[in-house]
Amino acid sequence: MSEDYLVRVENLKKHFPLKQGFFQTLFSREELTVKAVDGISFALRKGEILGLVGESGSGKTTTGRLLVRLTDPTDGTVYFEGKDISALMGRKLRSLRKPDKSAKCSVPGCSRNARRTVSARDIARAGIEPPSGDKGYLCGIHFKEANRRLKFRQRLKDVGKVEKGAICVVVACGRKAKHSVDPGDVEKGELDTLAPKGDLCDLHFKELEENLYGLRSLKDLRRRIQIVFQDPFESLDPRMTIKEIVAEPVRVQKIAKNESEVEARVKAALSDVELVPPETFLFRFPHELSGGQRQRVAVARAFILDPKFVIADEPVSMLDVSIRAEILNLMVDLVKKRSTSVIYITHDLALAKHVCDRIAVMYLGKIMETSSSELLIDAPLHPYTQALIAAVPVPDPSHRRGDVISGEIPSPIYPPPGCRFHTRCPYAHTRCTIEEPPLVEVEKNHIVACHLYS
Amino acid sequence: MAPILEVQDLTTNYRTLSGWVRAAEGVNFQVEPGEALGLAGESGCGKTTVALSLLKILPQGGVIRDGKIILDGTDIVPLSEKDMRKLRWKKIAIVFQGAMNAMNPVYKVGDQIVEAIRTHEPDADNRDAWERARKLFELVGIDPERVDNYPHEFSGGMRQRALIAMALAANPKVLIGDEPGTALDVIVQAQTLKLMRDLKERLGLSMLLISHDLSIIAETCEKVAIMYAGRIVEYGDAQSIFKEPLHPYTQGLIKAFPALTGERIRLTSIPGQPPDLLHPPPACRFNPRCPYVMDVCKKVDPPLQKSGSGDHLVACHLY
Repeated sequence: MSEDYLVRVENLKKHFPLKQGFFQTLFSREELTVKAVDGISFALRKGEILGLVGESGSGKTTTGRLLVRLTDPTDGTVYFEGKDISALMGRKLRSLRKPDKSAKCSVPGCSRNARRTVSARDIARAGIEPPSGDKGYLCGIHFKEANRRLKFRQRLKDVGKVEKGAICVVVACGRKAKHSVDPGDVEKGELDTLAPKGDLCDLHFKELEENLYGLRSLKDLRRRIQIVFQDPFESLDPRMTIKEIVAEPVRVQKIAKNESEVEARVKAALSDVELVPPETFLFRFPHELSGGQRQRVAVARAFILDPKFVIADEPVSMLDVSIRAEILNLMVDLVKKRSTSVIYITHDLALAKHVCDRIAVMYLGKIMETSSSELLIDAPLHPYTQALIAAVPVPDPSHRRGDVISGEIPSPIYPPPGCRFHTRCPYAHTRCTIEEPPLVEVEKNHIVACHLYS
Repeated sequence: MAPILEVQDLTTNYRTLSGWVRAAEGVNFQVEPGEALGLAGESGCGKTTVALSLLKILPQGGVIRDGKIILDGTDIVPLSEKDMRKLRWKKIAIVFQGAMNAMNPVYKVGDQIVEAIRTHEPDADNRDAWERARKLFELVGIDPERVDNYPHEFSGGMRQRALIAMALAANPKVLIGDEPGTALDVIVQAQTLKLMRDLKERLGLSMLLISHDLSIIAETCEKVAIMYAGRIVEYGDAQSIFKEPLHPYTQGLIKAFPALTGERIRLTSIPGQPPDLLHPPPACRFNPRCPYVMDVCKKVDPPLQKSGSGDHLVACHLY
């Protein structure tokens, strides 16, 4: 059932443009891109832990970053709770591109040229009838400016009720304005550029955003989606105390009413990650903690907002083997208790097997195989998965390892044609070099992209 | 055969304002010619300190306070820096941790290997040195033409190989590998370990491998020394240690590795933190974290000795 899915990813792509030298730009026709993620689709149920495994350079981390929108996707859609978040706006009006030079700012009375506009596509997405077809409806910068002046107006306590029937000028927002600029302000303040009554209301602007994306902004999204980074030595600001680090999301999201509530939340989050008693950690700095404790702080920071979806990007690869299990168990417990969905990015298959419900294997920006974790490790189908499993070191001196696949992951600038793995695959035949194998369901819940099975 | 490297009661401490940090205390082990010894333990247990002591390249404040390091028949502890320089790289070389950052980015990889050769063999002819660098590249499985590349043109796996080539530049007898394979991903790590095993067999190298990852050590070493808080707590034949780990710490470390085969289980770990080496716990240093702790563990230091059933040495009062 598609409704069960918390996150659904369709044909997600990220191509990083490659900087080229002067002569190359002159003489080469094509624009080179690094195809870090090249069309992946998957879905994640509520409370499920999905492992994303693969070598370095397979696009795991980029996928993670795309899901939190730390990078913007080149193409494809990410649905979170059924809503498309791939084009969500940030604090700035995000999808605002450069308009034509001639486009005028539509905040009436503002005579400047617009620098940013809302595109017609965004308005169409919101399901609002676009006004008679011009570009450049609203400009962020000028909107802000107008907003600032409106605030000035608020200081003057002159919020006049608008005449009934005044239409909000935020173009395409067909609603009626509730607040407006009073002509009196225009005279008192510096609002000379703002024209008559009923011009602009930020209330409706917010509504427009909401109509567009369901969520108001990335900030709202980040309350629901969080990430735990790989390196706890670099992901914590050395100049902030543990309390400040963990409280930062709460402060940014403005969910706590006062300082004592912030502190209470931080303490609860620290106890959740077993940094007990939390009081002893509040005013320490990251350098006073061990690697494992730091990663606990990072986990506390990610979970303090009670997110629905967490991306864990190799959370334990920098830690000692003896404490990895502890951190992972802690995360699994937190996740199961709150039925959070998790994407666990790792290259350690043994850990992935024990932590994840399902595992997806990535190679060169594509998903090669997806299955339940037991099935994937015990009966892998794709030759790449088999190679990965064969490479895992076994803590048993009498175990003799078979052959390790040779070579390294090919360049994602020119990925091999056909099946991307054919250059290293022991079973490659001519078909693999020409035709790209589709992902097919070979057995129940076991999807694999390989010509051996189709 | 006489051991190529013998460490006797090595005590290396770091001088700090608040006292001596006891990073390694009374460490004993031997490496026979052509044999690989694995030194395992958590971070901060003194593994790297031991490695740096062997080359006498301890950071400032680090002092070898006691013990002998007998390398190929000579005790190197009393040697002067000048004499030590003659031994380094020719007798004993190291592959440093962190393949990504161990090379100078502004010199060609070949230059750096040639530098290693010419520093240790001042008479070597420049052209010969370059020829040798190419041979070394071939030995570690990189295209010899790539000596002219800069480090950034190499992938992580190739840099690791190049570092191994550099360590082999002056035909050392003993090779120390400090966490080879960490920071590399599974396949490259497997390739690196395979290369090190091959080299050991082909060149008859003796190796000292340092890692926190027991599975890496299990794959490459014949002998294992488990270190905890600056001391060796279990020492002996790899087969015997992995089959029958005696020390509770070793047992915990081995259990911390989930098996790839078998049922999905809840992971286990060793509770607690490694101790502060400035004020280590009295007597057996593992006692605050040990599940089987007894009164005697807090009073008497257990000696490293052969236990009843096993064939290897263990420092624990349980036996």
